[in-house]
Amino acid sequence: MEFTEFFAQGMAYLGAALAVFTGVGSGLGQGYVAGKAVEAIGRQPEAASSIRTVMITGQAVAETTGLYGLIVAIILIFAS
Amino acid sequence: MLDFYIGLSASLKSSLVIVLVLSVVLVVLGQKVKKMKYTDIPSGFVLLSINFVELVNNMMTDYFRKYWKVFTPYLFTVFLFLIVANTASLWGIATPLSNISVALAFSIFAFLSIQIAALVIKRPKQRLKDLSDPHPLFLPMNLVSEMSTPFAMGLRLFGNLLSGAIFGLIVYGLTSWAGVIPGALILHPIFDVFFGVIQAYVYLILFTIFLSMAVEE
Repeated sequence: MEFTEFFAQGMAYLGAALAVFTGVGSGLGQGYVAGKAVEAIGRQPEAASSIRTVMITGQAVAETTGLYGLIVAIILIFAS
Repeated sequence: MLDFYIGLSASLKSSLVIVLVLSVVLVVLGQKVKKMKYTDIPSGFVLLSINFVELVNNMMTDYFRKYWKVFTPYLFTVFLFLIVANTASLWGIATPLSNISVALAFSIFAFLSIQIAALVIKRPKQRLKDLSDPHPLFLPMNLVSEMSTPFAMGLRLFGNLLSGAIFGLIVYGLTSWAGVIPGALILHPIFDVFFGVIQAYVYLILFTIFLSMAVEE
């Protein structure tokens, strides 16, 4: 097989597709946080507003790994 | 001067415009508040901004025990810029944070202000002792974590705003037959207003936590 620049570019696109799979982890984490927050609100409904704030902050922090995957994918697509 | 401005990319232009507009609005607002007597009843926009400042002050006093009066104006300014910048596409200008140089500028802001504040308040000797916390062998690891957390804060803003911009391009490209309706109903409320404000809030909270960890005992 010949390793041309088209081959390299195709491999970069495949790598970008693989990099976006980091979204699986952050999605699972965010869902877990939301489920636990629902449990906590069910147990203590009067603390709902502060639980919601903490939940959204935690989810935004957990989102970071997924965003790293996205940034890597974009770099692979546009900068290679 | 004008050539320099025209040569900039759209995100840098809009960040300069936002800085200009925010500084003019805040100076006018400050003059208005300064002229008020304590018996006057504020109303309208002044009342709204006074309540907003009060809210952020109350939030800061939870994190800083001693130095909240020093850091709150700075953190609040960064927060205001981020709120306006992340919702910038609602006013028809490019989102500044979707350019990586603006996002990394926020990393450098966070890094420099945390380090300088810690060096000034805690003195270099105590700071070195804090950095080699459990054992002096942990010094390189602590140094890496000091560098990586601000970097992650900037990249988080960049990734979120860039993904919003890319989603905007895709949705507007695919649903051009429907005009502005999908963008107005789904895209901008979620990706600009909700995620933008949440990310600004998260930046403020993380900045506050790291700053208070570096500065307080």
